[in-house]
Amino acid sequence: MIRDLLDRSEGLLIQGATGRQARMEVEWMQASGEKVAAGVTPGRRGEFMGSVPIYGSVREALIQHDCTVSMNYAPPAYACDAAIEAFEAGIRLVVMSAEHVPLHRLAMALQSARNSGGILIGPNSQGIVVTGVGRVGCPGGMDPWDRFAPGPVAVVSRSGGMTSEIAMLIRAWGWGTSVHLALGGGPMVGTRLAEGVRLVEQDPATQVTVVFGEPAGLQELELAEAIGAAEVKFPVIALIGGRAADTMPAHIPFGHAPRAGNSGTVAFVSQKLEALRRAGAVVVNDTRQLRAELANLLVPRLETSKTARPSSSQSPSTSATDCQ
Amino acid sequence: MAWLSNLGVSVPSLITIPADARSDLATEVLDRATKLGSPWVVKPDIAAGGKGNKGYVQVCPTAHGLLEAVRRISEQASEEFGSSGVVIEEYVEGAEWYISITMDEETRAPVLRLSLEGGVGFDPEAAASFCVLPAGGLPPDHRIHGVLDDAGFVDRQMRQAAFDIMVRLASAFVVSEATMLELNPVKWTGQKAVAVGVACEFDVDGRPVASAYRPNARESHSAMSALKGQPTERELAVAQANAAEPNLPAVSFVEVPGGDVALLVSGGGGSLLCFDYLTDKGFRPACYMDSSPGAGVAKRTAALTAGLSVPGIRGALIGSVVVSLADVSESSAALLKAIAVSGCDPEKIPVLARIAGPNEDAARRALLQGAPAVHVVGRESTLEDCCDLLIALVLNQERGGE
Repeated sequence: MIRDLLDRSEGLLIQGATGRQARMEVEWMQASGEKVAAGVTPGRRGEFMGSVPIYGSVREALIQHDCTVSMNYAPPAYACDAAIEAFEAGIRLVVMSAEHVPLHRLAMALQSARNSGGILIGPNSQGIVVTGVGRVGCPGGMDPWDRFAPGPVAVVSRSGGMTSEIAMLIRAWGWGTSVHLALGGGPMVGTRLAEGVRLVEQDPATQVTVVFGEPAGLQELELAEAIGAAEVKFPVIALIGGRAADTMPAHIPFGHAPRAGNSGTVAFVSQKLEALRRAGAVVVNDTRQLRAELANLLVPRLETSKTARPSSSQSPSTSATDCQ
Repeated sequence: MAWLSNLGVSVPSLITIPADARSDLATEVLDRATKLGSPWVVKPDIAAGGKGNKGYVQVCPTAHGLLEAVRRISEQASEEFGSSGVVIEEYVEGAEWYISITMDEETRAPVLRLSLEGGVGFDPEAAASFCVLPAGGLPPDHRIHGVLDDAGFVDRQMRQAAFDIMVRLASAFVVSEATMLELNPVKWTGQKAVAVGVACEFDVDGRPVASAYRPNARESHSAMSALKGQPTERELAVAQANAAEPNLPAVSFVEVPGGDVALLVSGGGGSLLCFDYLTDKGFRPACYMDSSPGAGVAKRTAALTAGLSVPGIRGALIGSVVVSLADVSESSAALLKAIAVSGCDPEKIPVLARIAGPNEDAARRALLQGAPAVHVVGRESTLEDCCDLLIALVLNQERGGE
């Protein structure tokens, strides 16, 4: 679905387009081949950011441009309302960069996404990569296509940095990635782990999903339930940071959010790992184990692929692409 | 309580004994308490949940018991919550209910909970009826009636009282951008409902306008912030750096007691990975840090200085995941300043820096020139490689560098 949205649209819509972070990231996105169709900043209609025209509202921009995806760089106080504006105007996917957004406005933005059938990724999301096709935001920085190679592994992570780190390692190990989703590290996010896994599974290139979880909240338990209920098609390898935090007082904020959230329920990382293991996920403690388990899952697939098409023995990353 | 009373929710009559009250207040306290009538309830003067569970709420039938409870709870409150203020309330007799609205992180919406039971030890998630409220607005009446039906509120007078409280609470929840408003227990006297236990928390990232609708700081003292205790001087220094540049993203720095390695890796996920790995290898990270790309040199310097200044560290790991949204030459500049300010000597305490991201060549050169004893690695080293290398450096140093 995300692949289609990026592939078919005229280009990205950038909200909060004239801010410092937006200008820098838009430049990087364009330099790496991403199409940026239009920007929106209230009160700045008629201006240009390089070659990108700026509009005063999303509705106004969509009259001129066929955009379905918005990268939202609006500052924290305005980011959620900007997302509501985007969904109401017909945008299908919003990636929100800001962190520390007002929770009540975020709940409203999520309500708006649900009402319009849209998807909100974030807040505090670094973005999305559909390897070889494009990206929303700047995972991979200035030179993403030197860091990421196309292949069958989807990465869904609550940590933006670890999304890119894992995808980069997968390339270095000779495989490649289909979609990377940085869900955002806040206590309340638009798309949760289980939803993210189901989303990347819709991508035709995905055959395995790597998940990076954190100590706060219950998202990993939810994912375990989804796997146990056979709502997840492909194998999941789960790496959850913060095992050592189980022995620390709950108020120490390991990870991006306090472990004791508003619901009052706290799950230890060990409980999350156990639930995922019982549900059938492969659980790893570090990226070395991740590499070994990925090899277990991918090599048989690669062999099958080679048997089917013996002439396609090329570089490691190309081989990984072949097994799609 | 005054805030709740202003919302139109009945609360018990009470006397507040501030934290700075004189120690010879006994006669005055008894005079005022006598007007409330015994028995009395003594509790810490904060709106945090769980006070009853921790034994900080005491019912006192006698004047002697009252003074003793005031003294004990004042001491306990000072230790636990950092404020020794206490309140003496009239004791309200009646059945106990539970009412709350929370911004539920799992549901991602406000959730209203109601139960005909309540009080100390009540588990609302297990026992209360609930409904998800619309974000940013009041629920339609029929949803509240639905919760009342589910919870078994049949008596008309009782039902009307609970309905009234829930509407007032929902209004306040929205305008104050609360994350939790909990009344536990609400006591039903047979005539009226009185909110006896109150806990409230508010979104620290809420819009400025919301603060006009919130209670004062004492009343909204958060249970979580109360639990955190006193920050270390290094945590305070980072907090000051954050406050000095409020328009830039904050850097988070948390010290872990008894640690032996300064773990200064960002972002948060990579830091967690290193934390676990070092712990698995028998080391104990002395701190945890998370820094957004736009935080700037001053905040990074403050966090790195704090980490390098933790007493007793045997080594330090500095670096970032390969996010590449942060200019790593800023990170190396911050590290050079932090080494100078903290007095940490990389010749004696091994410091390993993973430099990967925009301007990494310039960052490497700066470190080589400014702090040649710092061990620099690049993106070819995984975070686990960095941990292994640091451990080897530390052990080698401690063996006398043979």
